[in-house]
Amino acid sequence: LKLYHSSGSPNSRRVRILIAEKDLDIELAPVDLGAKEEFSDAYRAINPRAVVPTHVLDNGTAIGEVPAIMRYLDEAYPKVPLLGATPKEKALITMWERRAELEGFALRRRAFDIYREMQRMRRTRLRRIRDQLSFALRSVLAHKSRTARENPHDCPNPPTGLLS
Amino acid sequence: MTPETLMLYHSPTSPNSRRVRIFLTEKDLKVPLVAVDLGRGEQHSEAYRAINPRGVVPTLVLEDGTAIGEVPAIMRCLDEAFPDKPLLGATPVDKGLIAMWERWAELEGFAAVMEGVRNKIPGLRGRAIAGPHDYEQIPALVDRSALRVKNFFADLNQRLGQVSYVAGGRYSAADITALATVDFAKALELSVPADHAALNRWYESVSSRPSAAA
Repeated sequence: LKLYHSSGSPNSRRVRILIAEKDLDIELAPVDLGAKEEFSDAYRAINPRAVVPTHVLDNGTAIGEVPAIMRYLDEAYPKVPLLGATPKEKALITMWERRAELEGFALRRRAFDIYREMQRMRRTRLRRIRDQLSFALRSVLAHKSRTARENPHDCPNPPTGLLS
Repeated sequence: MTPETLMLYHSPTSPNSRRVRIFLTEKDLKVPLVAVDLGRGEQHSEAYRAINPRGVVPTLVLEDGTAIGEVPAIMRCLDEAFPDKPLLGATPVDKGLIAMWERWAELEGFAAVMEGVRNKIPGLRGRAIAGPHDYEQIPALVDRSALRVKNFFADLNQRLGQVSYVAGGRYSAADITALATVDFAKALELSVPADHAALNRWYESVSSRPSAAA
């Protein structure tokens, strides 16, 4: 298993955080975006879209697109699920991860929604989903914090303690 | 979870709703449908926003009231809950590969058509991006979308020259999104060029499946 990535690429970072959270031992292969290595014939052979990251399996199968790489890793190594363990959890996390990705600028609203969902789950003792949503939120916050600061959004602040 | 305990809020004319309807038909799941009247702005009503705060269709509501929005999330829910006739793959590798190709068809094909339509149609002035916020149209994006769709058709034709279906050897959710894209592109008067033989052959094949009428 090998992850082609760039240390400066936020999309690569999304996968690196997932790998660290799941405690997986995966070799990292840096792609030099500064030298435009992603457009080389060698790299295009594994990712025709010429973007990082790409996850390559032992048999040479190449998986591109961050949510697809996350899906593969979470299904192949289900011990610490970050995309959910039941159909309902998988659907909810797919929905929120996608909204965080497509609408990242509206983060504070999302954070508040996720916080309310987490409160509801605490009550219903769905601790596992809560932890997964907490992970999704933390990774999004890490990824989008600057954008969020630059786009104050008209909604209540997430209560303090949310990120603990 | 059984199909008849679910509810799909959709619109008969919405291409995103159609992606889910084709998916349901392929899996032979009889999920009750509830039509949302987009012409009357019903998607922005308080009742609908309570289940989908983004104010968009489709939404799948489970028996316990849990609302699942976003087409790939709805497909994920259905394929995991009803694993017969998997359309998102049965193994980790297939799940990864189909997620990749379905996303490729959506971001490079479907989203490109959507961008063109939403920035062009007079009825969507001030609503250039679906969802809770208003955005003005940018006319220059209409031409760029046409170019993106043209490139998508060429890339898809090349892909289908190598494999039978978008994600490889079997019909999958990636074919559903690609089919919905080709039909949606007609709204921009963009059609598959006659010399794209592999794409035309694939289109004829997937369009002749009963699910295409959903």
